[in-house]
Amino acid sequence: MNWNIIDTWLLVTASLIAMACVLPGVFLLLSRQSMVAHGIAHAVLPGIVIGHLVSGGIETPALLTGAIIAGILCTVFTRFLHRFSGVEEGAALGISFTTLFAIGLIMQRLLADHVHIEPSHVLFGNLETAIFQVILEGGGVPDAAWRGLFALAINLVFVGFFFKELTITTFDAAHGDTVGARPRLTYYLLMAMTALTCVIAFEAVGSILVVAMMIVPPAIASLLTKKLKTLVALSLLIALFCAVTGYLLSLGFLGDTISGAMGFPKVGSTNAAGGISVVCGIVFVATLITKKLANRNPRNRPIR
Amino acid sequence: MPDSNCLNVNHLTVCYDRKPALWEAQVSIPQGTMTGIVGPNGAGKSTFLKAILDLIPATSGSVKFFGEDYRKVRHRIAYVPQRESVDWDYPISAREVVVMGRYRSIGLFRRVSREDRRKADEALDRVGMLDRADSQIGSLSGGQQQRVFLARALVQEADLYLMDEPFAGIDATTERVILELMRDLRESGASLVCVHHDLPTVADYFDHLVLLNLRVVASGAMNEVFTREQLTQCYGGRLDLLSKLADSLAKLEALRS
Repeated sequence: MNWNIIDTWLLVTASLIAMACVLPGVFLLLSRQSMVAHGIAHAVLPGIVIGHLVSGGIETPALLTGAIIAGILCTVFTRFLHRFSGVEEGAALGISFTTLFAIGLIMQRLLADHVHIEPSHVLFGNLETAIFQVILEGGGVPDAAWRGLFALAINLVFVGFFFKELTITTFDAAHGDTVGARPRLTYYLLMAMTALTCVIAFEAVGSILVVAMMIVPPAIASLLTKKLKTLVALSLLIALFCAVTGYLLSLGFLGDTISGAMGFPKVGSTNAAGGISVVCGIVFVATLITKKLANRNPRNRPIR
Repeated sequence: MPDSNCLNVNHLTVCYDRKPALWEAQVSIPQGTMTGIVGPNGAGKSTFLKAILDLIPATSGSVKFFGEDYRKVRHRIAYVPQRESVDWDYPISAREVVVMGRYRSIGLFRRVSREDRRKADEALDRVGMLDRADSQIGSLSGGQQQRVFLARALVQEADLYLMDEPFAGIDATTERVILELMRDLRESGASLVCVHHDLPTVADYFDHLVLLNLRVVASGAMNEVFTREQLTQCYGGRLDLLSKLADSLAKLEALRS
C-alpha cells in the first residue's frame, strides 16, 4: 500500500463530509423522517443541473441555491401529495423525489453539451477524480476539502443557533406552534440544511449513499445514549470513526490482504464511499448485538 | 371591551378531505370555569381543540379568545396535546420537556436561563415529579408522562388551559394530582377546557359541559347539559350500552372494596 498526498486529502475530505452529514441526520432520525434524506439527495439533481446551466460551470453558490430550492420543492410536493391525495407519506415522498430526479436526468441528457455532469458521478460520487485532478494541477488544498469544511461549519452554526427550535419541532411540533417556536419554518430550514449537505456530500458519496452517512451514525449513537446533546456529539465521533476506518478499508488494508490471500490480483483501492457505508452498517449491527448481550445480564438492565 | 368569555366559537366547520369532522360548532365558555368536552369516538373533540388553535385549517367560522384573535392572545393560552401524539423514546429528560413551555419567554438565539430551569422544577414539584426531573421521558409511566406534559403547560403561566384527554390511560394517583391541580388553577382565576372520554366522572370533574358529535349537541352549565335527554341525543343508541357498562362496573368495584 502506498500512502500519498491524495490519500491524505481524500481522508480529510471524507471525514469532514461524514461529520457534516450527521447534523441534519440526527434531527431527521428523531422526527422519524430518515428517508426524507434519501429523497432530498435525489431531488436536488434538477436544481444542480439548472445551477450549472445558469453559472456556466461548477460555481458552487449557483449549484447550492438550485439544490436547496429543488430539495425544498421535494418536501413541499410530498406534503401536498400526502394531504390532498391521501396517499401515505412514504408513497408521497417516493412519487415526488423520483419525479424530480428523473426530470434532472432528462435535463442532463438534453443539455449534455452545456452541462458536464456524469450520471455515474451523481449516483456514486467522484471524490477520487476531483482530488486527483487538483493534485495533478499543482496541489494546494483541494476545493472538495474546503466545501466539506464549509458544510460542517454551516451545519454546526445552524444546529448551535437553532438547537431549541429543532428540539421542540422534532419532539412536539403542535405544542411548539402554540408557544411560538415556528415549527414549520424550522422544518423547512432543516430541509434546506439537508439539501445543502446533500449537494456537498454528492461529490464524495453520490446520491445513493448519502442516506447511510446521514442516518446510520445517529442511529448507532441513539443505541448508546438517551441525552440529545450527547447524541449529537457521539454521532459526530462515530461519523469520524466510520469515515477513517471505511477509507482505510477501501484503500486496501483489507482489499490487498484479502484479495491477495484469496489469490486474486490486488485491488489497490476501491470506492471510498462504499467502504465508509459498509463500516457504518457493521458498526451498527455490532453495537446492537453488544447492547442486546449486555441487557441479557440482569444487573445491566436499564431501570424502569 | 374585555370579554367575560375565555372562548367564543362561531360556526366553526372543519373538513378532512371534504368530509366534515366538525360542523358549524357554536360554543361560548365563560372565564374561570372547568369545561369538559365529551362525545363519542370520532365526534371531532380533538379536532375542535386543534382547529381553534390554528393547528389545522378551518373551512369556515370564527374563534375569539378573551374577545381577541388567537394571534394576539396566544401567550395567554396553554395547550396540552394527547399523550400519544409524541414519541416518548425521544432522548430528553422530563425537565427538558418542561423547559420547552418557557420558549416564549426564552426567545430566539437565547439560552435557557437558571430562572427558566427553576420555574420548570417548581412546576415539576407541583405535579409531584421533581425527583424524576432528570429521568429520560421514556422511562416514565403513562401517568408520569401526563404529569410532565401538565408541568410543561404550567410554566406557560396561562389564563386558559386546553387539554386533550388528560385523564386517558393514567393511574389513580396521577388522576388525583391532575384534578387537584386543575381545581387550584380554577381557584386562581384560570379557565380550563378538557376533552374527556369518561362519562361517569364528567359531572364530578367539571362545572361546564360541551356535548359534541360532529356538531355541538348542547353546551352550558353542567346541570343544564348533563341530562339523560341531551346525552342520548349526543351518543344515540350507544348511551344505553355505555350506562349499562358503567353500572355493572360500579357494582363490580363496590363488591371488590
